Amino acid sequence: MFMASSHDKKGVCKSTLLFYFLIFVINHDSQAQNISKYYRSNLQEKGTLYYVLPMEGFINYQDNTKFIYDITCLNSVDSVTFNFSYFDSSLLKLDSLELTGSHFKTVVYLEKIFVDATKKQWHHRYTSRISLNDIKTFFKDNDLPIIWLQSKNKRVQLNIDNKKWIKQANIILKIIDLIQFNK
Amino acid sequence: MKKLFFFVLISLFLSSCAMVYTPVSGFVYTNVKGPFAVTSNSGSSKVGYAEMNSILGWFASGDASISAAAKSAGISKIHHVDYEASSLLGIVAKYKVYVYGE
Repeated sequence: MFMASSHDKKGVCKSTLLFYFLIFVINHDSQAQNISKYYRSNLQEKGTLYYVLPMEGFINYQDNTKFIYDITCLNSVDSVTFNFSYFDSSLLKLDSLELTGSHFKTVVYLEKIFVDATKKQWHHRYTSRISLNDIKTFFKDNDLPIIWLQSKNKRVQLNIDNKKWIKQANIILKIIDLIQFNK
Repeated sequence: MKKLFFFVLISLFLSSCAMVYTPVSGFVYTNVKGPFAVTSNSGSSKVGYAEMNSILGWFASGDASISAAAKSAGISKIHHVDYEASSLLGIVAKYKVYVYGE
């Protein structure tokens, strides 16, 4: 029968400890939901400028394309800048963005920042202004929301996974609370 | 022979760890923020963001240039630029650039 030496046992013990240390370092922020790593704040003349780092999760399941958004908000103003990147195989001229929840719907017009070519897709970068209350209502929705992108010829439906939505909504709602509290 | 192989493997591994450019860094864990540049332009209402990543020091990709970050938010007048560098045990490293401006 194989007998492990004390040297081998020590090695296994060290590897196990290292493994758990790594898991702890990677996960401890998400477990405690430390929101500080999801936003940056900067003091301005007219208030504090908050920037919510890019969030992923919404996907166009039909074409398997990604939607990544970020939010910028000056706490003295009642609206936020909602910037997003949408990747699609076809070149689109997007007109509006629709945020739809179970009891909520808002439509905002889009302004193009740029359109770039990536390896296989077109990178559409757009911006819009959304009221802080509308954003809060959207992220407060317990049911899974849908984001619609409207262009002249195409209507793109973006959905999100339930687990990702719960995490993302909690983070953004906490940041919005922080912004409103610091007004 | 086994020891020699192990030594070579470890040397190769350590010689190409994922390191990130920063004035202060920790071998085990780094997560620092700092200033990158400032201009005489006043005020900022937009924030642009760009990042680059490295895995094990073997693969690195991304565009964390100031122009890429400014472009992402449509910034034409830059107020100031900050950076954030993070790494974990030389396995993963990330460098982020934040551009503030109008």
